[in-house]
Amino acid sequence: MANATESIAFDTAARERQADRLGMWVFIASEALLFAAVILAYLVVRTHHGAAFAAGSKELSFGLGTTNTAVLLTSSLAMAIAETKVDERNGLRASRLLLAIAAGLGALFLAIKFAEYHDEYARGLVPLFGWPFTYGGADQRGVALFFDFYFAMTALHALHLVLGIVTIAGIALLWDRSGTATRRRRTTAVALYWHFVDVVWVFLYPLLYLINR
Amino acid sequence: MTETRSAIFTWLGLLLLLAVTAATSRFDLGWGNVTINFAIAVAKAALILIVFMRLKANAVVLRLAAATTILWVAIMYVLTFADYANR
Repeated sequence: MANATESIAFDTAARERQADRLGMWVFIASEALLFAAVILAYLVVRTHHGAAFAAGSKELSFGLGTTNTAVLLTSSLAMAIAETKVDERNGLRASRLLLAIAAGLGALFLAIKFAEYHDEYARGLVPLFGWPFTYGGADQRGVALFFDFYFAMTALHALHLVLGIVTIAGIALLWDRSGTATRRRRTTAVALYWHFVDVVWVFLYPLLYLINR
Repeated sequence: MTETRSAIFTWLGLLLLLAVTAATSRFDLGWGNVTINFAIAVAKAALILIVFMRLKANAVVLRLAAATTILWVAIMYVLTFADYANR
C-alpha cells in the first residue's frame, strides 16, 4: 500500500506527493502575489499619510491583535505536527485530532477578529457601507484610508482562514472513507495552505497594529 | 519524534520573536521600530517556510518555486517604488 498512487501518471506515491506539493506551491505563489499587491498599495498610501496611519493604528486593539498572532502561530504548530503524524504508522488518529485543533484555533482567531470588528463598529471606525465614521482626531480622511486598508486586508485574510477551516472540515468528514495515501496527500496540501495564511498574518500584524505604538 | 520536537522549538522561537516585536513597539525608536518589525516578520516567515512548510526537507524544485515567488514580488515592489520615488 505504501507505493499506491491515485493517478497512473506516477510510479510511486512519493513522486505523486512531490507533484502535489509543487502544485500547491504554484497556487501559493499566485496567492502571495494577490496579498503582496494589496500590501504594496497599503505601503504607497502610507508613505503619503504617515501620521494618519500611525493615529489609525493606535485605535486598534494591541492586545487582541497580539493574542491573535499567538493563536495563529499555535494553530500552525498543530498543523505541522498533524502533517508529521499522518506519515507515522499509528499516527492517523492523532493527525485527525491535530487537524481539528488547528481548525478550532483558526475559529478562535476569527471569533477574536469579529469581536475587534464589533468594537470598531461601536466606536464609529468603520468607513464602509455608508456607516458613520466618527473618528474625532486630526486628518479624518487619512485615518479613514487606514481603516479602509485595515478592513480590506484583514477581511481578505479572514476569508482565506474560513476557506482553510472549511477544507479541514471536509477532510475530517471524508477521513474514514479515505485510504491512508489520500489522507496523507490531503493533509500535506491543506498544511501548506494553512501555513501560508499564517505567513500572511505575520506581515499584516506589524503593518497594521505596530505603527509607532 | 524529532520532527515534532523541531516543530515545537520552531513554535517557541516564533512566540519569542512575537514577544520581542510586540515589546519593542511600546518604545519610540523612530525608524528602529520599522526596522525591527520588518526584520522580525521576515524571520518569522522564514521559520514557517523552512520548518513548517518543509522547504528544508523537500526537493530543490519547491525551493525554486518559493524563491520565484519572492522574485516576482521583489520586481513588483522595486518597479513601483522606483516610480513613486522619482515623481
